[in-house]
Amino acid sequence: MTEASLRSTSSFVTRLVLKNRFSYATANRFTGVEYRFVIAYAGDFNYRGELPLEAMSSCAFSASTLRETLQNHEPISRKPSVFRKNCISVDVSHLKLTWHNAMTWKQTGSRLKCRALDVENNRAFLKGELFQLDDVIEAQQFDREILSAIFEVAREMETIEKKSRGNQILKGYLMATLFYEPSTRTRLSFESAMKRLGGEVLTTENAREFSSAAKGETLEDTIRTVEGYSDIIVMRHFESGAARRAASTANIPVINAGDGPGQHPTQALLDVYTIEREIGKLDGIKVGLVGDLANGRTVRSLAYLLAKYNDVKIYFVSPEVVKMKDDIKEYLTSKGIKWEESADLMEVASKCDVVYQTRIQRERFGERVDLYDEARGKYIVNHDVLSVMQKHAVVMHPLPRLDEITVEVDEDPRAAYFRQAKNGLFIRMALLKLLLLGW
Amino acid sequence: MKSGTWRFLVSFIPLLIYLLYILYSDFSSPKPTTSGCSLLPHQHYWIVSKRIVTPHEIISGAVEINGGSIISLVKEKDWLEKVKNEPVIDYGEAVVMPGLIDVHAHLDDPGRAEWEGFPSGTMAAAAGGITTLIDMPLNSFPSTVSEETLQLKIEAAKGSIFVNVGFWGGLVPENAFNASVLENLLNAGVLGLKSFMCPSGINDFPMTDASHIKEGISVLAKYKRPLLVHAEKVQEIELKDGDDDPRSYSTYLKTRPSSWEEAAIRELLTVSKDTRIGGPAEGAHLHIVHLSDSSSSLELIKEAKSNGDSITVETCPHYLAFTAEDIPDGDTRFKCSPPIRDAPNRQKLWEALMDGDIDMLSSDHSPSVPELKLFTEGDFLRAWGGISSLQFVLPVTWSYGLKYGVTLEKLVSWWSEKPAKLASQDLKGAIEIGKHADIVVWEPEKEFDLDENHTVHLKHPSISAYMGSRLTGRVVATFVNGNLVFEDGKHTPDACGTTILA
Repeated sequence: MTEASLRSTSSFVTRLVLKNRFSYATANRFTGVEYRFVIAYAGDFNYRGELPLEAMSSCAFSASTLRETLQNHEPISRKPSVFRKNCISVDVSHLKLTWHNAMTWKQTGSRLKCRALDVENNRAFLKGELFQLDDVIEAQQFDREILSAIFEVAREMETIEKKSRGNQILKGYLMATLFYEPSTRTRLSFESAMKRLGGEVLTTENAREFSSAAKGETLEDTIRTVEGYSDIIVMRHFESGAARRAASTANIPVINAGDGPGQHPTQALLDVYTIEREIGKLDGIKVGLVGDLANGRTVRSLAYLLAKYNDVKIYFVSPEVVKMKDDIKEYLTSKGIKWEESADLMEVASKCDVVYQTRIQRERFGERVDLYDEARGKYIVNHDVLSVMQKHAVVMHPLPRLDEITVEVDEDPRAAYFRQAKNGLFIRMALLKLLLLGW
Repeated sequence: MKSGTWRFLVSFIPLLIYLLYILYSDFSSPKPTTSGCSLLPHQHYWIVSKRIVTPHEIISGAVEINGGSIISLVKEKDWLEKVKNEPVIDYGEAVVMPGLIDVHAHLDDPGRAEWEGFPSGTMAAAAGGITTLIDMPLNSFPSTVSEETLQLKIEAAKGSIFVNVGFWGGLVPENAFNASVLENLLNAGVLGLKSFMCPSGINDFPMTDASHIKEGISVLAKYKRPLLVHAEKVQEIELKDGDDDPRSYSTYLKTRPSSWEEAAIRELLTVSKDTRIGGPAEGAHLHIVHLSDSSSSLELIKEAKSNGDSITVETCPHYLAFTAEDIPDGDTRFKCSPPIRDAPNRQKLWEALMDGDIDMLSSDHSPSVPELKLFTEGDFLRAWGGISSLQFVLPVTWSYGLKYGVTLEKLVSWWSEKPAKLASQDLKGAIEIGKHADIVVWEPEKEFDLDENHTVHLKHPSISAYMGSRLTGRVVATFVNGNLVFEDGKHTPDACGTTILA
C-alpha cells in the first residue's frame, strides 16, 4: 500500500478506528514477548453473520493468526495505540459485542477493505512500565497517546468501583490532601479515589490557617515535611504556580488539584474523558464552550487538550466582557484547530456534539449589574436549548451550577454533568494508581 | 443335614471371616509397586523440602505427586495436615527444582553408539539432574533428516532411555526445498529442525545457507516449531604460514574467529525478519545455538529481538567456565566449535546471560571415542571437536556462576523454563500444579572433586574437559514422570524414559 494512498484514507480510517476498535494481545510462545494489536475494519457497517476470512488473507495479516485471535480473544481495551506496520484488521463495530458474538456478524454486499495502519510499536504503556510523569501539574504534560492510555486505566477503574469493597492495589499507601483553599468536591473525589483503592488518607482543608502557615512557613518546607508522612500529595493552592514549586521540592508525586486561576489538570482530564465516553470519539467533534471563558480555568485547559485531536471545531459563546483570551485562540490557530466566536447559543447548540456550560461570575461585571443580568439570561441552558441540540449531543458543566443550567435539563439523558463528576473519581483513581504503581 | 455336620461347618465361619479380612485389607492398603522403573515403590507420594523453587517464589513446603504429575503444592505450615496416608520423602535443606531440560545433546544413537549411546547418555543425564533431553539429528547414523531415519532413532530409543528424550530433525539441502519430506518429518514428531551454516563434520549432514533456511522456516511456520541454527560461516582467514604450533590452542582459535559467527548471524537475520508478526513465516522461530562471541554477534541478535523477530539464543557452560588463555597445550578435550574464547568474552557472556540477552543454556554434549580426540598428538587442528559434559552441567553452571550472582530462580529459567518453551513442552519446566513430575533434588552447597572416585556414567569420562575439577552442587535424586530414576549414585534397573513426539 503506497504511502500516498495511506494518507488520503488515513483520516477516514482513524475516525472509524477510534469509534470501533478492539485491541488484543498475543504473545510469542517462544520468547514470551507480548504484542498488542488493534482490530479495525474499514468497510460497510451492516453486519450480522460470518466474517469472510478468505478475503482477509490478501491483507498483510496472516489469515491463520486472525482466525486464532478471533477465536481466543477477549477485548482487552480500546487503546488506539501503537502497533507494527503491516498489521491491520477487521473493525468490528459494536463495542459491547464479545468476540463470540462478533463471529456471527456478516457483511452485506459490499467491499471488504483492508487498511494498513501505519504506526510504530510502543511498549511505553504496557503493563509493568513506570508512568511517564512524576507529577501531574498541568494539562500541557499530556499528549494524545498518554491520554488514551490513561483513559484505558480509568475505564478499568470503572469496573473496580462497581465491584468496590475489596480492591486493594494501593493498600499501605498514604495520600496527603493539602488544601490551602476549600474545595469539597475535588477533595472528596480524591479521598474517595484513594480509599476505593485500599489506600489511606491524611486530609486537611484548612492548610492556610495552620499554625505553621500562619507563622510564615514556606510552601517548600511544608512539602518537605508532609512528604515524610505520605506517599503522594494532592495539593490545592490559591497561588498560580504553587503546584510546580511543590513538585520540584517533593520527592514523592504531587497532583495539582487547582492552583489559583492557573491550572486544574484533573478537571481537564475528566472533561476529555467524559467527552470520549459520551460521544465515543475525540477527533472530528464540535464543542461549544459557554459562559465565563476569560477566567474559567476549566475551559482554558479543555481547549488546550482538545487541540491535541484532529478535526475539532470549538465555538466560543460568551458575553463580551468575559470573552476567551487571545492566547488560547492563537494556540488553537497554530495547531490548525478551527474556532469561532458566536453570541448565539441556540445556533451553536444545534451544531455541537458537546455544550460545555460554565458559571458566569457576578464579580466580573463590577457595577454593571444590568449587563450581568442580561448576560446570564442569554446563556442559560434550558429546555429550549435542549430541543435544538442533536440527539447524541451532551451538556457538560464542571459544577457547581447555579441556574445557568435549569433543573428541568437534569432529567434528559443528554445531561452529562453528574456522570462527568463521577468520571472525575475514575480519572483520579487512575492517576493515583499510575503515579504510585505504574502501568 | 445332621446337626453335627452343620455345627462342624459353622465352626469354619470365623476362619472365613479372618481370610476375608486379610483379603480386604490387602486390597485397600496401598500396594507397593515393585517395578523396575522407579527406585520408589509408590506412585502417590509427597516430596518435602525447605527450598522448593516454584515459578513465583522459593517456598518451604511440600509437593504432592501422583501418577507422574504434580497435583498440589503446599507451603510450610499447612503440609502436615494435608498429608494423609501417603508416603513422604523429606529432603531437608536440599533444593527441589524442576528437572533440567537439555535442548542440545548428541547421543549418537543409532549408528555411532560407541561414541555415547542412549543407555549411557541418559544414565549420565539422570545422574546430572537432567530429566528431558532433546537429541540432535546428527552424529547418529544415519542423520535424522527424514521420517524413516527418525523411526530408526525412535526404535533404538525404546527401552534404552532413562530420561525423556525428544528429537530435533535435520534441515539439509536435500530436504530444504522438498516440502513434503520436511512435512513428513515434522508430522512424524520432531520438535523442530536443526541446520548448520558451516560444515558439520558429518558426511550425511551438509551445510545450508539463507535460502534453505528461508524455505525451512516457511514450512516450520505452519507447525509453529523452531529452527535451531549453528551460526558460523566460513570466512577467508589469513593463515600465517610457518610455525603455528598445532598443539597450541591459540592456533585453533585463530582458524575460527568471531567474524565467522558474526557473518552467519548477519545472514541469518536477513531471513529472520520473516518471523515477525504479520510476516510470511509468522509462527516459526529461530534459535541460535551455542553462541560463543559475545561482542558483535550478540549486538546483532539484540537488535533483531527488539525489531520483533522471533529469535532466541543459547550458550553452553563451557563458554562460561573456560577461557582460551587457560587451555593447556595439547589438551584437545577443550576443542569445540565455535571455540572457547578469551576472558573478556567470557565476562560479557555472563553479563548477557544475567541480563537476559542470552535466553537459555544447553550442554552441546558432543562426545566421540577417545581415539578421535588425538590425545597423544594433542593436535588441535585435527582432533574431534566437542565438549563432553552431560552429567555435570548443573554443578558447572552453579559453581562458575556463583561469583556472577547466579540464583536458583535464574538456573530454573536457563535450564528448565526457557528450554521447555523452545521445545513446546508446556507441561514441563516448572514445579506447578498440573505439570509433569520431572524434578531434581540437589545440594548446592556440597563441594566435590570430579576425580576417579566420582562415578561418571558417560561412556568415555576421559574425554570430558571437566575431569579433575572441583565443583559445587551435588545431585541427590532425580525424578522423571514421577519415577525416582536416580538416587545416591544408583539408577533404576529398567530404562523407562519416554520418547517425546510432537
